[in-house]
Amino acid sequence: MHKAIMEASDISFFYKDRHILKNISLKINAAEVFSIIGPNGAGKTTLLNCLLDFIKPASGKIYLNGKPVDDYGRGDFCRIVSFVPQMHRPVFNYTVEEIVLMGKNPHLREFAMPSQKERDEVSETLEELKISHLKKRHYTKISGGELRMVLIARALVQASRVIIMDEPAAHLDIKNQLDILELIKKMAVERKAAVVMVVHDPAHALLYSDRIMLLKDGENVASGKPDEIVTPENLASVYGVETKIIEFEGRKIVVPIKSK
Amino acid sequence: MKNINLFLIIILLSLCVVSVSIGKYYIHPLTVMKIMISKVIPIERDWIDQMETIVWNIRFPRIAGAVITGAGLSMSAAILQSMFQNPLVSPFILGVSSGAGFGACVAILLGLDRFTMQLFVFAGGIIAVSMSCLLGKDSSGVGSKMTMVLSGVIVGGFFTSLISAMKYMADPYTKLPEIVFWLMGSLAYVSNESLIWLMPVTAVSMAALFMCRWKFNILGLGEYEAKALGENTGRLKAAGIIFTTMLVSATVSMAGVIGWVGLVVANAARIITGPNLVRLVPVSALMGAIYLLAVDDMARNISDVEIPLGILTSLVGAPVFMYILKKNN
Repeated sequence: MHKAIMEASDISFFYKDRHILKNISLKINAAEVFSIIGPNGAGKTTLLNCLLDFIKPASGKIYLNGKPVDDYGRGDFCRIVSFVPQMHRPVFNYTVEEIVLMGKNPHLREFAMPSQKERDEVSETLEELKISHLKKRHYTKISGGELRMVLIARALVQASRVIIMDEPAAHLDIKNQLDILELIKKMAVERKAAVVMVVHDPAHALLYSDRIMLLKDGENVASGKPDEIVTPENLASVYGVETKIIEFEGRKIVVPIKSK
Repeated sequence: MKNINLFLIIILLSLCVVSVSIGKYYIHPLTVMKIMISKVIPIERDWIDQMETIVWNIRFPRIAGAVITGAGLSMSAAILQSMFQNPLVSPFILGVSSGAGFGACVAILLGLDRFTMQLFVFAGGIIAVSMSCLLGKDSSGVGSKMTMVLSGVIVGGFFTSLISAMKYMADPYTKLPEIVFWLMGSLAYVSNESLIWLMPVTAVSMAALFMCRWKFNILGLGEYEAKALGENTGRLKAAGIIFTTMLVSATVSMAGVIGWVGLVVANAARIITGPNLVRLVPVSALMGAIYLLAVDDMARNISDVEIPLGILTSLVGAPVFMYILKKNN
């Protein structure tokens, strides 16, 4: 039994008088992909925002490395935890290099600016993700898949102990979806990263996670191993969709049949 | 990229010499340089005392005022545009100009001297921005971009109506023209004394903004992303607002409200350097200084009567801005 790097114990969150998260507890370990799935409005993003310490849960606590997140300064927290947002609405045409360099922010002293050392690190990471050719391009002028890769590069440059992702495969074509999900899996294994992601498609969660939490109306309906969670019964009760899970060349595939 | 800064510095210095030499009383640029150098190294005097008085007491403060005002407004604009994630933000977005204008009106109506008036103007600007910040504040301590901008508009509107009320009450033969002229902006009243007392404020705020400039990039990615990148967004936003407000209020207390400088120059500079504030801030500042100095030279040399600076900057700035917008869509 290894120790959890991030842990939420019994957290609840309210928006006005709406109960968005109800007593959620979870443990996230290094070198595993932890997916949060559930229908729209289930509280997935709110849970992510709590884990990122963007918002404080009304009750319950979140621990990072066994220490309450409230005890961390923003910079200390972000040297361990990085974030890949789903939507990024760019206003100014920074270059890819400049955007990825911003990942070094929590590592720099006050008033310091990134130097050649940080620049080299960025180049290495871009190389590793095979996107060096994008380095000097404006990040406003690259494709959605490339942008997602750039944001992942930024997260890796920042901190790879815990990487939190909001729907990493959203708005991508099928090739890019698979590429990104493969890469995430690889990051968890090779870098021993704990990846927490909100996943839109239960089929992706089933294929690419080590553990899954299924949320509905802010409640943890089920959590555990992928094939215990992504079952026709669970999907029917949570999403209201009739599905079949078929095995094809050793891969389990979720086939939606019809909405109930 | 280093070269562009050097290039702009050379242009700025040459323009300074030219600006000191031209005017109602022409002084040869070489003489100007000699007079300036003589402050540092003693050289043989081949000029008359009046020349020295004109250079040091009349033209120098005005030119220094133009340089500081142009640089201050433009670098503030570049940073505020990043912070508010909007290239159309001007340095007066949070209501500095109307608050400062109100301060000026009060001082003029009370018949205060120039120095006290500058204090009133400076305080007016600070008060207006503080009101915008208090109004736009949310639970996190610093308001979201949208509420901040809206409260800036509200506070601006409030002070503008107070200004109108005071114009209405002012004596139309003595006070009213003074108010109107002040509101159009002019560098004619910058004196060495005012430079000296504004120097600490402008130097400190310029230095602070300059040192934090890379960090302000991160605010430009939005609240959540900046937080996820380890930034204490509330503190950085507050620093940005405090130092730009001090800088802009200082320039307004020197030169009045000069519109269409920060907005236009910051956008023009962004075309050259890209949005990275590491390069954008110095280039904006230098271009702003050059631009305002050139426009002020026009203001005092085109005709026998001095043209208010604000009129010229908007006459030049509006079409230039239009061009930039069209070109970059």
